[in-house]
Amino acid sequence: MGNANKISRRHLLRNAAALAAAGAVESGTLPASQVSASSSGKSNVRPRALALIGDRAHNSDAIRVSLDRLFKELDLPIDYTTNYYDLSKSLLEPYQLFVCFRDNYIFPNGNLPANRSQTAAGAFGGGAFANADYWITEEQGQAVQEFVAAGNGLYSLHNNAFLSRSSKNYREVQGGVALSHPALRPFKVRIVNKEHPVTKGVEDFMVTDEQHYNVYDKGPNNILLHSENLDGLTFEAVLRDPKEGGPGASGPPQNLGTTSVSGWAHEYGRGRVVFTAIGHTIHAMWQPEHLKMQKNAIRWLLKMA
Amino acid sequence: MKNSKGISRRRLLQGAAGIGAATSSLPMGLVGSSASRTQLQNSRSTVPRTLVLMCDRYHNQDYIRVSLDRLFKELGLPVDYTTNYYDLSAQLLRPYQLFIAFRDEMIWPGGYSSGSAEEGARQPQDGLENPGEFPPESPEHWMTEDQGQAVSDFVKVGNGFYSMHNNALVSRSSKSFRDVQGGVDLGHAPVRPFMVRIVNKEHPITSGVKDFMVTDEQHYTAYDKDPKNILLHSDNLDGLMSYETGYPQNGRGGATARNTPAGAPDSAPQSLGTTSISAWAHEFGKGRVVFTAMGHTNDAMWQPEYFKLQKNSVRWLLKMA
Repeated sequence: MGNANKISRRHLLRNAAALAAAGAVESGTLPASQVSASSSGKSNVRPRALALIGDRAHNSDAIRVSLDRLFKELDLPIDYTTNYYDLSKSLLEPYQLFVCFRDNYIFPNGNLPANRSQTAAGAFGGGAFANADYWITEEQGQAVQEFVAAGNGLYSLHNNAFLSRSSKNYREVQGGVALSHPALRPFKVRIVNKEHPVTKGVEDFMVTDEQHYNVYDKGPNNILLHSENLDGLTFEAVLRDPKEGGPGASGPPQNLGTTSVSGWAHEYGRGRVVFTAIGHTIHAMWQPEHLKMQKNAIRWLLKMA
Repeated sequence: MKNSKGISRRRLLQGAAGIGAATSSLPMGLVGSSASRTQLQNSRSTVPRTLVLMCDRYHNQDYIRVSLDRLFKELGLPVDYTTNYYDLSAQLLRPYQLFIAFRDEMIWPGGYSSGSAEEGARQPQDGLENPGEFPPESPEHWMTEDQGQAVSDFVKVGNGFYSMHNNALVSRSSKSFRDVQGGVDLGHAPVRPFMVRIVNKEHPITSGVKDFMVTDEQHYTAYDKDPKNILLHSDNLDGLMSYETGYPQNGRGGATARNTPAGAPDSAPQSLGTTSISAWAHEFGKGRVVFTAMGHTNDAMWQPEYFKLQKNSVRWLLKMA
């Protein structure tokens, strides 16, 4: 917010709006054409965030409610889109931060509620994922890479590390990949790097959430968070993705233990990337220490801290 | 598709594109830009365009998109989607000939602890690790009278409005919306099987459609206009009529067994019986309106007879039939 004196009336109005209507004033690309036409440079106005949200198992309504509060408390505007096919270089152009909160799957051939049994899914001719497609193209992954490398921020949330399964380019900038997760149950999130601006002032915390198990590809020093099941419950998963095939596609279950990598931060080109794995529900998103960390993450990504 | 010789290559591509990446098509961003104005002028003589406003706490946009993508792909028509309810305005609707609304009247800016991730995933708030921090659930209405008026004006000038599933709940929160929509949702039973009967077989929308069974929420609605416009009844064949509502059947405002912002129920709960009004179609000004009540799940949306009826509805709304 170093350029506060250059805040436009429009942005002030946006920030003054009420929580629900606020922050989220316009649909994904509408501001794009307006801003590119009206502002001479992106750095002399307030930073803007675009969130791509919503998938089969994650209702965009809950994500919007969660992020609306976060951005309202940060006093920053945010736009939302659920139109994954719109992700492109030109979509991102007016923004300084891209928030990605959805997985890698679409179900164009049918989409039973995520809580329906596999038996019920038989009516559509197979298991829940039998009809899944990937949505991201390598061009879209490349667009995110270039966006960050040019000096902007990527905040990858919750199940978004699954997206790295389906695009090499996206994985390269996101920095890791999700393996799998057990059902909702309580676990402890421990800060393993207390010196980072993203974890500053944040205490270890308990949360009831999906404990996502991830692999991080870059320097282990960049890992900020571990999650641990204090009840000693390990997680055994068949690391199967029917779209991937290949080694392990139908292999024996692997025991992933009680502890998982659940947050990281790294520089990428001239930009920054943060991933935090917690967030299946609004209450997990609003866990006080987690919310504090999300604020730190956005400030760091926007180089406000 | 009367004016098919005016279809541009781009629109043909849109119609031909695959179901997943497809349809969707024109990014919202074009709306209101000078570029889209040009396209708008062209679009009047080419393929009609549809905007869908979708998604609420209980209805994930993902299944609605999947359901409607197939519908519009099979119709060979483009469709755009938004979940940004606050964007609904006369300007937003201007480039379109059909507006589909598939969401309820409520937003929950203070958060909620159930129905949050996947529909049906209920978690008691008692179990939260931060019970003191988590605010009590408190819904608000999102629609303004200006937005209701925008829909009313859009239809009056000759366009179409397709109100789906739980969208009749929005009529609880806006008089101008209820005026064009034509009725109001009284409440609904849980997901269970019921029979949908066509009560007007002469209408273009029900042409070739047979009575059908569906497992869905049976929504009970009140229709405000001429009863001759009612197309469908739904009937619980098991005789289940335990469903009750506190929402006044002739009433405005008030609350129900559902959480609504309006406070206490206006009247004692009353049984709604086994049979409900499930669809209607009417003219409004120079335009047309259809409401169909089924659609809580993707499989209900794709029930073959219901799917046929949706196609007929879109064609009738766009005056293609």
